[in-house]
Order: sequence, then C-alpha cells, then structure tokens
Amino acid sequence: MYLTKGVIVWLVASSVIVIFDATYILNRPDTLPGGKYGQYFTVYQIYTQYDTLYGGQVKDYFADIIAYLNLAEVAVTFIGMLLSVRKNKKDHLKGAIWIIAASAFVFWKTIIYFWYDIQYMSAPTKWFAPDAIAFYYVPNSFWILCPLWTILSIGKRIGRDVLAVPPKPKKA
Amino acid sequence: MFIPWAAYLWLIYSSAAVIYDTLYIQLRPLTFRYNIYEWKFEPYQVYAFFDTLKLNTEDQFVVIQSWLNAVEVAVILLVVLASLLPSRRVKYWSAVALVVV
Repeated sequence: MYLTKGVIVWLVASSVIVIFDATYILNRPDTLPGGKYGQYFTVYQIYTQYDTLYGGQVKDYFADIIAYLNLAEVAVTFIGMLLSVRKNKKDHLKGAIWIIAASAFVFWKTIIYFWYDIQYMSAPTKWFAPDAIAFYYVPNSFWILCPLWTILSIGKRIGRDVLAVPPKPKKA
Repeated sequence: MFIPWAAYLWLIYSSAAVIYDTLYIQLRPLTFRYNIYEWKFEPYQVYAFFDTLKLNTEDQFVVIQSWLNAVEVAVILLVVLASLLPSRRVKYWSAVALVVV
C-alpha cells in the first residue's frame, strides 16, 4: 500500500472538514447566525470576522464554486482510498495516482482561494494580526502544506517500487 | 523514460498557448479591439463573443489564473529540462512534478 497512516488520517480528516465546510457554504443563508441551521455552524462566526467572503454579505459565487469543487475532490479522494484498500497491487497504484491528482487539485485551488480572497479579507487579516494568523492563515495553510506532503509521501513510496526495477535495455 | 513523447509535445503546445493567453490578459486593455495590440490578439476578439469574462478588467479571477499559468509554465520548463538529465531518480520525480502541475 502506498498510503501511510498519517496520509490516511489527513485524507479522512480533510474530507470530513471539507464536507462540513461545503454544507455551510451551499446552505447559506440558513447556516448564518439566526438561520435555521445557524447553531451547528457557530465556528464560522469567528472565521467570518477574518474572511468576509464566507459571511454571505457579498454577492460573489466564488465560494460556492470552490465548495462544489471541494466536494468533487472528496469524491476523487474517496475513489482513490477505495482502490488503495483492494487486494490487487495494481489497484493500489491506481488509487495512489488518484490521490496524488486530488491533492494537486487541492493545493492549486487553495492557492487560488488565498489570492482571490485578498479582496475580501478583513483589516486584521490583511495586516497579519496574531488572531488572524491563528484563525485564518494557519487553518487554511493546512490545505497547501498537507497536499504537498501527501504527494511527496506517496511519490516516495511509488518511486521505491518503480526505481527498484532496472530499466529495459534499448533495442539495438 | 517516465514521460511519453506525446506528453512533451502537449507541454510545448500548451505552454506556448498559455504564454500567449498570459500576454493577452496582462496587457489588457491594450489587447482589446481598437487598441494598439489588437491585431496580435485577433483570436481573442472572436473568443470574446463567446466568453466575456476576459473583457472584464475588474475581475480578479482572470488575473490570478493568468499569473498562476505563468508560474506553471516556468515550472513545466524546469521540470522538462530536469527530465532530460541522465538520473532515473530525477526523471521519476520530474514525472511526478508534471502530474502535480
């Protein structure tokens, strides 16, 4: 198997958080304070102080698009994990490649989100205030660093197998 | 060894197209119709009939995407050059990097 325990823990935790996040975004305004489901999403009352795009006050569908893409990525990760637990070793490799692809999507999408979000950051976030670092930069950075670590970790394991096989001699 | 020739061809073609696109975006509004670089970007004058997003200079998404495209082309160029080195390990990691980019 090409997935380490650490990678599996990250993929499961990330998928759960991402589904929670997409539920919040796609069900606004019901998930906002005072809404039908507001009490389940109180954590976002803190977060929206640093990222106004999440608050629903601005007319911008970027967060919605990101939420749908997040769900697609969770689906790709799920397929990759299913393939990785099958008995066939070839399926392990396919699963690992699916997860590398999903991690690459997550990495680039998070960079685009950070960059796009500059226009919606609150003043403390723009000025790197300590609370903004704790509640905005650190949590979001996980979706840049962990996908990279996942790719390196899986890549290393695949490489061990692939590079162990000597190359085929060229035909004369 | 790890990267097929068809992939190299695609990367060269795609990088050229992406550089052209980046120039169109970053030089706006000079690349629009009736401006100084209009004739160099004639395909985009037609494209604008079908996709008006690139005409909107206020939209940040197009600009961000364009800068990231430029970064991707730079990474692709480095990785493609690295993949031509004799080391199998470098060739392998170049292939992984191309999947990510």
